[in-house]
Amino acid sequence: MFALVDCNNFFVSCERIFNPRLKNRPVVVLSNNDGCIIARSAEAKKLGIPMGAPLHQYKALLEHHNVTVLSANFGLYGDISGRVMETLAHCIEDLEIYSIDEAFLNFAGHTDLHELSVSIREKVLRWVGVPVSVGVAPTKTLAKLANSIAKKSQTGVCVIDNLEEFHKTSMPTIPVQDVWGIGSRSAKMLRGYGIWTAADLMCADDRWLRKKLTIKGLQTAWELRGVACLKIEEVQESSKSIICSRSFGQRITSLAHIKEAVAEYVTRAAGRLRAQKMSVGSIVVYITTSKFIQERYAQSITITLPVATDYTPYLIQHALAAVQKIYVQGYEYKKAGVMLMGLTPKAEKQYTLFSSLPVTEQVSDDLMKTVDAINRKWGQSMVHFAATGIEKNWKVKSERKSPAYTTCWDELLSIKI
Amino acid sequence: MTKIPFFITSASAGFPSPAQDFAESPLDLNRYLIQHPAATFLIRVTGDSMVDAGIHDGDILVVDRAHIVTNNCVVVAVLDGEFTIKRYCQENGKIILKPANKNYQDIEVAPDRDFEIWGMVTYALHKVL
Repeated sequence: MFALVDCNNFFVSCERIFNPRLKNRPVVVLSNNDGCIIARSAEAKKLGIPMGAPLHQYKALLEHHNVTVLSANFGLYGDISGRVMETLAHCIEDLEIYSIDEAFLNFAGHTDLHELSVSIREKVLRWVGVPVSVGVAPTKTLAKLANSIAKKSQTGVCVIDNLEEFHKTSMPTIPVQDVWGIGSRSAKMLRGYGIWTAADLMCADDRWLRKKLTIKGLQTAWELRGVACLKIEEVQESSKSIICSRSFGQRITSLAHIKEAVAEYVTRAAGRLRAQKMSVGSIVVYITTSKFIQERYAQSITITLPVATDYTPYLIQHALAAVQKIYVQGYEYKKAGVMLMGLTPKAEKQYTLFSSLPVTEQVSDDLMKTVDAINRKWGQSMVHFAATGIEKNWKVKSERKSPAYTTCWDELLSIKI
Repeated sequence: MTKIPFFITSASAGFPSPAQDFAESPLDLNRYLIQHPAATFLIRVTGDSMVDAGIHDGDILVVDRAHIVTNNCVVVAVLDGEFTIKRYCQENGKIILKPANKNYQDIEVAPDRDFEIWGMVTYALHKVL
């Protein structure tokens, strides 16, 4: 049996730990740059505020209902996420961190699964202060479904122990797009063939599924039937791409400022690349104006590197050449992004006969290790590449951010006694 | 985070240093002060209502949310949405939050108030300098 533990309204729950007055009140958290609503408390969801809604469209509603609006505090959320995962690991050793607020646990060998789930829930709530929901089922795909049922229940726990019953009564009520691994495009295609629910998908023909949805879709159907095809992944498969994109704090027009921003994003993405011990084969760079103005311009460009690398200056050099190509004067730019694609393990790196790297590999490796170590010790961006600029006019806006309660001595929670 | 012991000693051909056999990691205050890292938070206090419990204005408290709360221990509590730090006492079925300073009064927690224990205070870090 597998359990999926999912934190309820995670970002809001993190804020509530240090601000108990937010309990039972509508709260929303904004994206980087205070653009969109990316997390809502249950009370805010009830007011009909949709996920991803642009702040400026909902200002009146938020003010009318006296909703607390906070800027994202990702440093805090990351710290709290680590605490939740550590607490879960205290309960069950065999665990897979699936996202910032979700983990799969292997319940094999345990007997009273309902009681175990309740105790895990209580422990995370007491130790860290974050409410979670626990879904338990014979497969990971079913555990995901069990979790969404648990979310709506009073106890916050749902154990699928009678599979036949679940297949008969619940599965026909679950829309196919709510099944883990079925994206909106696949769901649309499936509906075209009369597959509307999880039950329909489960009953589809194996060969047809394989043809239409590849082996992954077939696995999903088997998992719905109760045959575990996916196991707990102790080492997360490294992601296929790394994305770093962000809106600018203010609209910027000059090429020089855009270049600084792009260089900074490349630097961050490359840091993550090295942490995963990967090299990158191609980079996508894009720039765009605001969606809400008349004169819109958006362009992206993909550069395939002659040799896979993780060397920041080399990546910056290519990314900046790309920006130069897509930049058009006269627009007010709102956002830029960098995506590293074609990631390969550094150990498997392929060499070309005429490598165009400007320095020898040993030198570049040593330099990158030193930069990463300094930034780890002294904080992000202690050492940075001059191309990322000193002034940072484009730095993101986050006007309503809560303090760094757990990561900064000067910002600890302060209590008057 | 795993800590890897780090030995600063070079290999020599002569008589080995007798200290080598006793190479141990230095004392780690985190390990002394924090029993449950995932559940431990640091909090700064202002005010003097707990001064007789060794908690002074400006101190940093180590608060362990995993620790079992016992009678008379010092807790961080939330009363009607406000944080406070007091001694937690159960007397005759009543919950009383007691200050550790005779200039302050006990707070009796009536059953209709929104009350929650946030965590237990395990250490007060007081700067002597």
